[in-house]
Amino acid sequence: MSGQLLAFWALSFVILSGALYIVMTKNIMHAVFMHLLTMSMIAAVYGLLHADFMAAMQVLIYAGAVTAMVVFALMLTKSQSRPDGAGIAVDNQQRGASFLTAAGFLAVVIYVLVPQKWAVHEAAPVVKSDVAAMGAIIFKSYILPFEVISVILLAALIGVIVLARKED
Amino acid sequence: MAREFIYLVPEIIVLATALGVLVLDLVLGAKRKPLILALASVAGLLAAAGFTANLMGQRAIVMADMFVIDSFGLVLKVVILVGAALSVLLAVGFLERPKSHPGEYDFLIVASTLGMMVMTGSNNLLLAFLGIQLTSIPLYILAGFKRNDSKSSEAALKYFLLGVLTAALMLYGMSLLYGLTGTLNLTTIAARLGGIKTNDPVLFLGMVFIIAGFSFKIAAVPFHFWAPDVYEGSPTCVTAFISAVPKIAGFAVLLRLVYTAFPALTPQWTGLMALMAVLTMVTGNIMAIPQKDIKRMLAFSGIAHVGYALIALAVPGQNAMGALVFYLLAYSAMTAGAFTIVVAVGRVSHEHQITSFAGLGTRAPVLAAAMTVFLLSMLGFPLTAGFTGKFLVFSAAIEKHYVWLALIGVINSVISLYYYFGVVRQMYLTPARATTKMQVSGLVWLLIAIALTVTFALGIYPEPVINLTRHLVVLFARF
Repeated sequence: MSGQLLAFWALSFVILSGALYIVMTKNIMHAVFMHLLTMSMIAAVYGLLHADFMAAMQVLIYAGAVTAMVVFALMLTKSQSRPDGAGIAVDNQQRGASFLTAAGFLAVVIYVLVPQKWAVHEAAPVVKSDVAAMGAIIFKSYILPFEVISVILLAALIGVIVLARKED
Repeated sequence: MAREFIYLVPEIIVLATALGVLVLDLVLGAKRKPLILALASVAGLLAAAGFTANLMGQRAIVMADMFVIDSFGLVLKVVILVGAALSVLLAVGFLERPKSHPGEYDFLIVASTLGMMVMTGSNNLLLAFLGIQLTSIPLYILAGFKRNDSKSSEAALKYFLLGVLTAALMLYGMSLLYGLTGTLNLTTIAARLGGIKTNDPVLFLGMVFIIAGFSFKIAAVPFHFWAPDVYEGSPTCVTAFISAVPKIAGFAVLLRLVYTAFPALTPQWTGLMALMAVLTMVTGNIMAIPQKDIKRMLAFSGIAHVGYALIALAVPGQNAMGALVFYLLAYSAMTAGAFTIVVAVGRVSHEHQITSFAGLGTRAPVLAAAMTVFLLSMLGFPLTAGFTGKFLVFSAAIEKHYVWLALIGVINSVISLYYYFGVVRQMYLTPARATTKMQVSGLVWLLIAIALTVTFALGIYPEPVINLTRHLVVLFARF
């Protein structure tokens, strides 16, 4: 087992545990910090794949900006529960059915994906992350998706204003 | 590349309309604002429809193989744009209440319409995904537009959560497909699948996940659970939009996916579509029977109609494709018409129980007659659009020896007689609780007149449209 693979498994373990903690904890502040950890570890996976630029973006946007936004949102909204999270239910009476569904989905995916022989190519040696080439791809081949994303963000922005406005 | 932008003119006009409405919202005074903004949006949408119609007959694939121009997409885009324009007009009365934010409302409708145009023309899974998101995000917000209404908020939240779940499923399927073929381009996927065994389970799983994601948009069983609650909770003018227009784009993207990317897997996906068609028809019709709320009843009836349309996807071929386009046209006309009347009745009675239609035959005889026509059309009564649509779909199925599928469709149409006539019975045989004549605005009359014209035109003299759908509607990638 190569060092890269070992690192991948270790990172995956931390990412999945962190993600699980986020949805299980009753303390939303703990969830925010676990979110920070999980997102940083995903950045590490990108680093492992020699995608340095992606890793940097992941840290800047998800670990940095998004986490900071969540903290701001928490700071500015009035909490209706006690800080220890007492009285908050993180699941409901359908937990059995949803567990079975998720487990069934996992079983199907493992059954199908594990025996699959993927067409793996020997990766070309990466000298350095070529941001200029990436920019050229985004603004040539992917210009249309890029522009559509900007409209999606605008629509989401307007939508948030509509939902957050004061009625009367 | 610059020359390619000529093909994107309709999309650019729609984007400019969306932004223009936002700016206009800021500069206009409060007087007649909803109407002026609506007319501006309608002008933009109809201009885009005109440019789209002008491109008819062109075949091109532009923007680095991302976006495809073919008459199949162009015809559906015109239908989407006209449908969106009518939806904007329908909402004017709703937006005339104080503090109703007409600028944001019209912007969201137009932005969602742009998403549907992107969906309809995308030749790339990434672009299709983004198109679906651009369609859906404004719809989540529109569903929750009545901020102080808990049912409206519930509708928005349910729509959003299920939408995100299916988006994740769809992305997972796309990643599997990318892992197998190394591309997201539909035509390249078809070419690369030549080197892969078609019974590869990963390929099948990826295809199923992507189809599942697209099926959410058209509310096909088993991805329909959002529909009744969203239809019931949303403002009725939003429901009218959601029930008709996005489904056209959903069918477009679904058909383009299976016809362009998976010709090698035709037996697999036709089986899948046939199964979904049967489940969708039966579930929709059975569940519509006990409904007390007209919006929920029309939601399940809409699900049943998606089932009939799916029959046309289960039997590939030029005739079936034409039948599907015709069916979508007929479906949107009669659904939009029925919902317009629900809006009109709701504005007077402030509720949406089927019993609120009691005595409509005496209170508003023309309205009741129009509603009867739309319901008969949904039933598939001769001389209406619904009959021609069902006839084309069922005969396309029989032509390909899927007699059993057509038979199930016919049996389901008979079942639907029960709940459609429940409404007719309320209108004509149950005495009204209030005896005053109903007031209906001129705009609503105009919309009903348009829907009635299309419903009758497609029922009485459908030949020109049938010829159009049979011969003109071709995909860029021929199968």
